[in-house]
Amino acid sequence: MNDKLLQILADTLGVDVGTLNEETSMENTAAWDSVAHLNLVLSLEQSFGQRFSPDEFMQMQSVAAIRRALAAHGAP
Amino acid sequence: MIHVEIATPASFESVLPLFDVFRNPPIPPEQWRRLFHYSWACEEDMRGFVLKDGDRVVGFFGTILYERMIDGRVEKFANLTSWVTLPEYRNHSLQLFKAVMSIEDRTLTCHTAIPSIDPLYRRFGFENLETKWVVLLPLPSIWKPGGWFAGRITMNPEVIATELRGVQREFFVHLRATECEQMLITHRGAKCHVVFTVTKGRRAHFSRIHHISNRELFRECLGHIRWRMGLKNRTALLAIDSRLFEGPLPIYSRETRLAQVALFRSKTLRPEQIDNLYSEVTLLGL
Repeated sequence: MNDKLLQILADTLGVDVGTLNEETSMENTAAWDSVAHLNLVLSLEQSFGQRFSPDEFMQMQSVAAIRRALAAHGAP
Repeated sequence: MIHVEIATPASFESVLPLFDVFRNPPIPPEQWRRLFHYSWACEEDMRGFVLKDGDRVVGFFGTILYERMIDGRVEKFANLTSWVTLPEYRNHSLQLFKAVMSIEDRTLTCHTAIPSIDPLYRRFGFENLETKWVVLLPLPSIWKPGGWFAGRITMNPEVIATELRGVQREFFVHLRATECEQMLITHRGAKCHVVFTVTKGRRAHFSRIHHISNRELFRECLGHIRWRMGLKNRTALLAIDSRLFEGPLPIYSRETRLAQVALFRSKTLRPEQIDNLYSEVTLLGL
């Protein structure tokens, strides 16, 4: 799941996957703006076959938070 | 420390420099001021939200608050406007969006959602308010040429001011200082107050209608209205949001898709009950 998540994030933000880690978040990543966030969540939904609520949408602002949301949905 | 605060009328001076960064379209300060200092009474001081880095304003998301009586009920609205964040703070702009989405007790409208953000609004419960315009040529219908009109059409503000009563007069007063034009049609004892803007487009100048107080009378007198509007304002076309123009399309008109879809979120209202009267479209003359 980790590799897949980081790869989706890298593809969405247009950055090298090697620059991403567990600490990556909207706070510390300039390319992760609101439009990128929207595209990221939509990509995650498509890739993991899940649908996130508006609250989750807002909370998924870091790799750690995304991981928690995916786990809560039992994503593979 | 980056954080979000409620914007108030006093925030105007600190937000204004942000608008200078995003001069697209160029709008003078006195027009931006209207987003903060309303010409109508509003119990709430909120004018949206500001994103601040310490004391410095680095982002803004405006809300134009107003109330309207619709079907015998007071309905509360917030028209969303001017979501701007300095480029270096773009990754914090979602905080502004989150703050605006927390407004639960009002119908929210957005007339200028750019296509890339459209899915974001929809994710938070927004639906289409408008997707199409009816565009009319400024020609009288052939069976009701201008000379046969027994009623009266005026765009003279002094005359309109003396003839309007009640809430329609309030609308007139509230928007008089803006770029909006106003028209009053009187026919067979009934009145129709119309509020519109004139846009100088690249290919053609056109009038866009934002409010029609009596849609039945408007349609009945349309041939004369379109002619007078075109003549007075030198506009080649008249555009009306499709939801404000029920019924079959009249002669010399066609329906066309809006470049920017208007969106809304409401627990109580349908699209056709919501016009553009108090919105960024009229206050900023977009």
